[in-house]
Amino acid sequence: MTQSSPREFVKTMAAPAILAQRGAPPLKSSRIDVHHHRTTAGGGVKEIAYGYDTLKADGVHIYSSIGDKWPGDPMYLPIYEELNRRKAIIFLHPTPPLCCKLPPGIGAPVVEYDFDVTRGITSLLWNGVLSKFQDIRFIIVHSGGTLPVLAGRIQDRVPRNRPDLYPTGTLELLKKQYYECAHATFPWALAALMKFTSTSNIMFGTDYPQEPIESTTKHLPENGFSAELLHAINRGNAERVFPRFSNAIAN
Amino acid sequence: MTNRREFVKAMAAGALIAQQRGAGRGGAVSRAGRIDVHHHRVTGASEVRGQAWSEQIALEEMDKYGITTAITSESGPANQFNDGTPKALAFTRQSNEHGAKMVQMSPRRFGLFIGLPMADVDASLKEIEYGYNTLKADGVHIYSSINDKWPGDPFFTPLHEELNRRKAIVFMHPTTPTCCKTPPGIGGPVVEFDFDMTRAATSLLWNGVLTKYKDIKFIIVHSGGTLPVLAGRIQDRVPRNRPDLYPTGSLELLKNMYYEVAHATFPWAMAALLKFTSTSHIMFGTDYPQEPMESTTKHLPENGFSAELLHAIDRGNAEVLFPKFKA
Repeated sequence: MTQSSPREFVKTMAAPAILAQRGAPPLKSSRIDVHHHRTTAGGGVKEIAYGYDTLKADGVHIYSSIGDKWPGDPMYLPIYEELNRRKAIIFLHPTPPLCCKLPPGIGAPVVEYDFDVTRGITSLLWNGVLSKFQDIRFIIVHSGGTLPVLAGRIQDRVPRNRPDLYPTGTLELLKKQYYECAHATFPWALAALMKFTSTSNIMFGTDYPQEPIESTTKHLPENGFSAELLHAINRGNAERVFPRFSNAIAN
Repeated sequence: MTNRREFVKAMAAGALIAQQRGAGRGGAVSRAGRIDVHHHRVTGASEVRGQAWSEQIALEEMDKYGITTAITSESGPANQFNDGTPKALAFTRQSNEHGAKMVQMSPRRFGLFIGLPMADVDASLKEIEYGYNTLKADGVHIYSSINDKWPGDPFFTPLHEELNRRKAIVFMHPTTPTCCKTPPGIGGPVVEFDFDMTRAATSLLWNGVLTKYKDIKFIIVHSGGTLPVLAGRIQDRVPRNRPDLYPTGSLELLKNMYYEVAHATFPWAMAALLKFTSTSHIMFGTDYPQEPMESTTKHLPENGFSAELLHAIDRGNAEVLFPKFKA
């Protein structure tokens, strides 16, 4: 982790950090960036205790696919049991999936990252992770990528013979997750997300340095959001999920 | 067709019901019922997903959901057209003639998208000629991927040239792509169909098809699937060294396509589409019989659209694209 001050970063097991920006924000309070990468990597099953107990992690970073597996694979159930016990926040980030050959010249970041996030979530859904481990809160990147627009079609395709996996309905399990808006503040992407989830479940993120911070900030004003909603997205919602930052501005 | 006389009778009855419904609802906007641009014919089989199918059953369903006209595309999987064998060529012809016969028997109730044996470009060119000149096709039905290729592949350039010359309407339908292994137990229709549609659109974009062949009108299914929400991210990733491919910007090229709403009238899907494209580019479709018509119709009212917008989606916009169905 390459931080200058411990206050400025949320510590996670693998990559993202939360940055409470100093400087002059456009609103009365500064943003909390829940999608911010450091350059080191780490993590693994045994890291959970070390990460939480020794490193004081704020959450866990996992990928949309792990080799030839997606995160709902039954081999990871012990991890979710432990993370559920710790009421963990899991930041689910895309990776170029091994599953798929792409059209020539069109790299994974164009569309396959977002596809793999949705595959990752359907894998969690199909394997009952979202219903069995309800104390885990997932943060889904890029305004949910393709998940909000496909949620209705996904709901209509869940296995009819496994109602135990979706006791409150598929849509509810998806809507209650958290969504950050890095490089997906385009009005069409946020229109879908706003119709889909609650305004209290949307957080700010940038994907920096993979993506210039401006990719996110320049389109946010195009949505015509109220000051209250902008504040909720910029930091209010993240403050509730990460309460230790709720008074960061005063310090 | 099992019984031609019954079929004709059903067609006539359906037309009458549609007419009466239109009259009963009153007002200029609702004189005629919906135009379903995503509607499958079933060639060489009498059931789909365990449900019986016939032209007569299709008409009865159309009547139930206020659909005056359905423009049919084949229901069968892509490899029936695209495996490059003589069998595929024969099936393509059989399906296209079947669709043409449905139009011939009831020209107000059915339109025709012809399929193409895309793995064989020469045979596809011949099928386009036969389809347009003899069968009087309303457009062409292609798949989101063709074996290991996507539709923008330079392999298909002669087809794009010919379709552009004919100012063709190209209905692009998803298929389970051969590119990708899916998570265990989660089949192609869950999310991969929509992913492959977006891959297909990016393939058209990356290869300049949307720029070079501007007289082709593409119809993208399921409210654009994942394309509208990803369009901004796609725009920011197009090759910076090929501005010739995007002289007016990639967003404009994507917004300029047409979108139908089958099984994607959920408010979140429609919210993205409405923010993205013009209201004049959104059309009604059902994906019947692969999908019950209700999957589309039950969520449409949840969007709170005006009567004018609903009319534009239900038939007005399709009338502009297919003027022969104008009420």
